[in-house]
Amino acid sequence: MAAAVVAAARVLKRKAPRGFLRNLIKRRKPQLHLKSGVDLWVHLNCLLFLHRLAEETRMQAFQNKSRIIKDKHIIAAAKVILKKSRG
Amino acid sequence: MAFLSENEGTTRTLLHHVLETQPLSSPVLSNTRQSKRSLSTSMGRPRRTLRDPPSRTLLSKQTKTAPAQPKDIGADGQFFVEHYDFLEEGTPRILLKKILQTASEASVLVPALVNSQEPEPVELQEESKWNSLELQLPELEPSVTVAPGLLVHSRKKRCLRVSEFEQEVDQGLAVASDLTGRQPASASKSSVTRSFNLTLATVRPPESVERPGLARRPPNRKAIDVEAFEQRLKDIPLTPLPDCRTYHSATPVDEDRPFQASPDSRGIRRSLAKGQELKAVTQKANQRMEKGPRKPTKSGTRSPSQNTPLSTISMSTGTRSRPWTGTPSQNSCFSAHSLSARSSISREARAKSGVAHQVEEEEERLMDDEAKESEEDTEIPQSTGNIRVQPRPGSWRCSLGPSPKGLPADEQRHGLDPCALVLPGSCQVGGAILFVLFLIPRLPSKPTQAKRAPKRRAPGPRQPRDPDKVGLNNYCKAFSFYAKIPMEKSASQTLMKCLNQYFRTLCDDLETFAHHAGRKTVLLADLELLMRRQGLVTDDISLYVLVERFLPLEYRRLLIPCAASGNSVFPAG
Repeated sequence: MAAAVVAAARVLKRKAPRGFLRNLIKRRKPQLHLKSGVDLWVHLNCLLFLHRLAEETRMQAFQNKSRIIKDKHIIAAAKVILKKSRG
Repeated sequence: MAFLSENEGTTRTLLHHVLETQPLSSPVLSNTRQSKRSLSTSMGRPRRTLRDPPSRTLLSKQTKTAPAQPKDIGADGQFFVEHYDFLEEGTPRILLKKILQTASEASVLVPALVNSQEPEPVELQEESKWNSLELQLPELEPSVTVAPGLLVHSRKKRCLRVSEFEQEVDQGLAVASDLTGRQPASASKSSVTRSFNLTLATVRPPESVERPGLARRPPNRKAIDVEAFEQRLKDIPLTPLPDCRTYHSATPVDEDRPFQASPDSRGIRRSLAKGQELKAVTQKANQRMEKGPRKPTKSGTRSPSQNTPLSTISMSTGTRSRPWTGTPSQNSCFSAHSLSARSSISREARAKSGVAHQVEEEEERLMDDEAKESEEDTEIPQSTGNIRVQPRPGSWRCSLGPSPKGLPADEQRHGLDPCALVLPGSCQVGGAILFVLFLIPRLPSKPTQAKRAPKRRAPGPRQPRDPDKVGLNNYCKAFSFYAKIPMEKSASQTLMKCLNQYFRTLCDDLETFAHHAGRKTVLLADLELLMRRQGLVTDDISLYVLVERFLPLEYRRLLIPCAASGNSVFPAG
């Protein structure tokens, strides 16, 4: 694809997609209720997960001496981090 | 007039005094009254020493009435005031009318109708206007009550001022006083006129009615656009070019259809997918040219915006060109269109141009012509990236110029023209022919598109995926931000899968924890436990530290409970 590489984002979004998170959980587990502030913590959890995943991916890319993140980097990193995030 | 002038001066001063001394009373009533007074006082070039803020607003409006009033009241300010009260009760309208009449002489516009209408509508619509319209006044001139009679410059600004002024009046702000003070004689004239204009603006109820509607429209439009756009993306491999639409609009023939771009293009693509009917049509192509080119043009125009679909289509068009007798130009045009797509597409287009070029051996002429045209086109649409055009030797560029360059076939011409239109820069050539021509190339591409369409258009489980996609995109950006190094586009797909997997496990864990606690609701404790088990929260790192580190400032207050005095904790745990 042309423009296959997307530059890294400069600014992080400030607001948490609360509605999106609620819908997501509702769709997966309709029988589960969520307390009011819980979706913010879920958002925090997601950010932390992404943070760890990004770190791991970056390490993988460096190990492969590549300056761009590729699929294989992410997959390799995800294996590790998802296992960690199992709880 | 002389009398007026004298009166004006006196009345102005009187009015000013009145206004100043007059206390702010109830917004509406006081406004109306005071406005009248203000008008009288703030005649024409009032030094608006606003006596009463509400009255000021009205004053400006009533400036016209001011001249009338002095006649009635006299030169005595206070006397005027007293009388004014008296008069008010009598007939403010009459006063206004008088003022307007008198002021009309001095003012530019003095329609009698306005006078009669203004007092009432001014009052009534002031409020309505205020409420309905929230105009951003360039300058706050609340005191500037637009004299209804003065319709010197009915600009929006003035209207805004009036409305805003009215708002202030309603609120009983002492704006008038400020305004009158601020507005020196120099500005008085303009202000007066403005005030007059303002009233006029307020007088027009339909405008005010319209505005709220206008104000409301944009958000709706946005929502629609996004949805439509997304739908288009899904349905059509090629994304229409918004720019091209304008070009299409130029062509009279297909105005109705082409400009619906997305729906039409979609329709065309779909038809292309089915496209077997169209294949046969060289002859039909002409007929279809009108229809087809519209759609393809639209899609073509759109396609430039989207890289991949165009490239494929151009490919398809190129391949189809052979079987498609007499419409190689069309194909090229089509491809040209696609190529003319944005930069991203350009690369693909170039590759494809090569293909298309090979395919269209017959059309060498055309291509040459096109090339020439393309060159021209390239020059024109430089903004759109002429680079794309250049790599394509001629087949791409439809002769935007109205005069087909020696293309024997009308179709060819048409093909060229629409291509030209499509070309980002040059599209403005816009002739009906262009559209038709463009349509023609579409036809051949349809069969090719048909092949590709099913590939692209088979999203399968659209529903569950689509809503996630938008939301997950935010998290993809967050990932990209944390990673700090660029990412491939294909990698983002992988990332989405990872996120899906993560959310799945997250939900399962939360449910397990809640169930373990004998609850059906997920509480904060569950989240905390989850984070602890994940290793995010340790003895060293507390939960709130993470909040402070990762979440924006606004959320701290929400998430971190603070103990306030009196044994209360907020947010309430």
